[in-house]
Amino acid sequence: VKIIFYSVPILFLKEGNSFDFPVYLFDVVRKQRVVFIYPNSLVSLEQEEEAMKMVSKGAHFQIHHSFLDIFLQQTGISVDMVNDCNRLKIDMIDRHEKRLMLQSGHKKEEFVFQEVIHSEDNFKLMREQIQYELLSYPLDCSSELNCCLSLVEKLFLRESKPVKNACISYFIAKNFGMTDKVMLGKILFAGLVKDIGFAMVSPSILSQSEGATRKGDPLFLKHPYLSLFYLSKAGVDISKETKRLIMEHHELCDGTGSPRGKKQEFTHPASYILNLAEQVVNYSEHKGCSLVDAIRLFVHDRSQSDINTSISPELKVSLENLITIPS
Amino acid sequence: MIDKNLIFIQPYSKKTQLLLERVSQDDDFMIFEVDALNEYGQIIGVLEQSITVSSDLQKTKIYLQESSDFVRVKDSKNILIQDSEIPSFLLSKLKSSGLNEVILEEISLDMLMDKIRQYFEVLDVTNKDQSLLIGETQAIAENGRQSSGADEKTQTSTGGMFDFNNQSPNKSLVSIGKNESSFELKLNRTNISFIHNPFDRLQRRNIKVFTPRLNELDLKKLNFNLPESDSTKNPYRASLKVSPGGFSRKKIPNIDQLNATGAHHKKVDFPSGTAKRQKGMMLPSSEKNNKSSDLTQENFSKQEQETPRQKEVGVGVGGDFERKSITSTDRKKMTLQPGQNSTKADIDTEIKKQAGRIKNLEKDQPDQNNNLADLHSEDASDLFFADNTSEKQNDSIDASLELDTLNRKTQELRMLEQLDREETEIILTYSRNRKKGWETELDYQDIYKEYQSGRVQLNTTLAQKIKNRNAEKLIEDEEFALYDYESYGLEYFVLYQEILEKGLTDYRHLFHFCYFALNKKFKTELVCYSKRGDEINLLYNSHQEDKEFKNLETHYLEKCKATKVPTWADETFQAEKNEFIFPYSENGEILGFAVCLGVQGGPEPLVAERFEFYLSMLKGVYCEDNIL
Repeated sequence: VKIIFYSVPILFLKEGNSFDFPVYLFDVVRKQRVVFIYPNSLVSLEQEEEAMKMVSKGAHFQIHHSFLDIFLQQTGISVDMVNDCNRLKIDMIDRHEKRLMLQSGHKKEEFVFQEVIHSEDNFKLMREQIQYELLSYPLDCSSELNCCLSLVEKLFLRESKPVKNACISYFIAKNFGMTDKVMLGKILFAGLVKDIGFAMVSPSILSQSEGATRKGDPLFLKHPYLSLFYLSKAGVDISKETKRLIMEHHELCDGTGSPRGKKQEFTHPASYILNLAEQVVNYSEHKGCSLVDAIRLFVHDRSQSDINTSISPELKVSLENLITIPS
Repeated sequence: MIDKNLIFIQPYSKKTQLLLERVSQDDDFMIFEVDALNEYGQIIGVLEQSITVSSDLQKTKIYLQESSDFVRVKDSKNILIQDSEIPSFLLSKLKSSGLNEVILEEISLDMLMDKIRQYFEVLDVTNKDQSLLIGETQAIAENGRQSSGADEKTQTSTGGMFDFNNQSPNKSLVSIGKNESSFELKLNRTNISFIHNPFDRLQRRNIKVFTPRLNELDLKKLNFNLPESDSTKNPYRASLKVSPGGFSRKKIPNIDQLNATGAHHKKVDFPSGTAKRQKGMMLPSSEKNNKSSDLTQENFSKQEQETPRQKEVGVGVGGDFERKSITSTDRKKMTLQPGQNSTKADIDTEIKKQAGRIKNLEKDQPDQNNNLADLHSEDASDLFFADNTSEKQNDSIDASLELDTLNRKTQELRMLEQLDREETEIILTYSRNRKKGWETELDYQDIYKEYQSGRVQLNTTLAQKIKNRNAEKLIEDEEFALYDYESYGLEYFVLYQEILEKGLTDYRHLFHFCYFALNKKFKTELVCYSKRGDEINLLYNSHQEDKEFKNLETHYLEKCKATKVPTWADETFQAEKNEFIFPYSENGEILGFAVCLGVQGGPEPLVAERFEFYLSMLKGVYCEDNIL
């Protein structure tokens, strides 16, 4: 990641000046870039006035990075001034480099999920592993992924239920064969925020341990909608895929889920991962059993009333692989 | 065998350019490149068979209309090369004007060449038929003359009129009565009425309008001068005065020559800029020595009056340099006479020899640069003009100065026009060297880098053009997207969700958590009220011990009662400390209020929306009847 076009102050754009480099005008609103002054052409008075006018409207004057040295040489503008104009970009690059350095400097032992899940500090190790892996995620991919990375940085310090859900979802997805960082980021993000709509539900309903009572409340059933409402109020630019994951994380294969009752063919496969992870975590917490036992129960003994039997066969295989230690 | 004249009207399309390059390699064709359409009018008037190739629709329309007398004859074919098919109404209009065919650009070059050859074959067959017919007619006429005796007068030779008193009953091809009909026997079907007229109306108009411009180098290659005797008779001589005002690569045929030869079908020499290969006869050297008022003619004549030193041409013999004066006899030897059996190949060979000698001189004798540079710049063919016996030497200095000025201007103009061509050549050479193929899109960034590194040599204008193209190309470089590394406060909602799911018993914790989030983010105080009917109760106050607040509580309560929508005390966000009242409502009923006090700095409008976002966290609490 490097800066291609450096935003520069317009101090050098004076009538009669001529430079060996082209000067570009970048319209922030339209996100368009045009050549404002060609190399070796004189700056006219009209161009100088127009430059002032465009800057007042928020436009940027830019120099291609290949001409930066010539620009500094011919205009006498200092590097610090140029850096000030590109502070956000430089900060982002610095952050990215720091993250990479942190990752490379942190020698982590080989992480085998099947072994970790059997340990007592399984969630702690999982959180650390996810934090470690996310250090290499790009920062220039999407606003949503950046938001996810920032959230992980703040929330993964402590063990909460949404964090557990996100951790299990992440590793099920990886075990399911997903390797795309963007997609994994979406699952992680959806795992964290899919239930923030509970804030609009009466606390008394949420405090009830019985699932049947909860499910009787219409507001509770609509909490995926409410989560999306909060996300939209927050101003996060969310992808359609993430919206689907949040909206469909309570849908079931047989079409008996909520809030829309969509069947398997109309549901995003990753939304079942979120659902399964949430069930596993809830079961292990409510029943007081270990995570491995909860998963084993889901795989082998599905006669329990609290267990959702409507899981896709591929997911069951993936879930079984999670607890099977490789030979 | 007919002359295969191909006229190319500029501008060229890609296919036309390729066709031009192809036919230029074929000696069978005589090529004319025409820029101005008035030049075209002059050329088409004197050519026998010709095919005109154009790519510009507008120009095609104009030349077809303006030269309709010439282009609509059978000996003239007109081809238009276009990118796409032209509308039918336009096609029919052009065809009625004389257009023969519209060819699409996608046609292969070989196929296009075949088409052109076929056209010429058709023209050739027609020409042979006509010759046969004329031959037969002449035979009939001869027979009739013999039979009628010496009283019958018959005009012979080209363009003559034949009157036949007797018909030959055996000949069915031509049936001509003695006094019934007469026809003009022409070998050539080209309209040459302007020769006798002396010009037809169209020609005259064009010549009046047209101001030929001198391309000095090309004109030097041109191996003819205006015949002195005939040029004085030319009533339009003044309009033919050549001025260096602009640039044109094409020269019109010399009308005087046409008059002088008196036969339109004789081949006329065109400037090398117009016809790449010249065919036909060369005018005698005596005809070059005319003293017309033509400035260029004077220049060239004066140029020939160089000093003896300048006139000497070095000829390398056996590796030694000798100076050999070119005598008039030598020049006569080098100048081809019309009566001689000289061919174009002979002329070319002679010119090449001279050019080669001059180059050798340049290499062998650097000290002779002045003379040789002049010679080189003037081209070896200048020798053909050589006849300086009648001119004064005093005029030669002025003439050479004028010539220098003329040279400079002409070269500058030529450079401008040929810029595109040069650019293409350089770039194609570059692409070929880089083995990028002909169809590869040109990478101006790459070329610019090569130019910067000095591996590609470009002149100033072309270098500037490449720089500009490079600057435009750089725009396509993709820059990484800049996104905020921000959580948008969602972490508070995730934590709030956890608090809710843990089974909360004291709702004050929820208010306090919301206050914690707001205070951390915006440094504000939070006061929450519930509303049941007209009764307003305090639910949470983050600064209970603040005396000032207690004094103003009544004031806030009054404000809350009047608030139906989220409201800022100062909506311009100019006040140092602002207040925000956020009502909670369900099904149109207001359940309570949250009041944010002492919002410091006055948030920006976008940040102000965050207040609503954070405060909406408490919506569930207000929906809880038991708690409230």
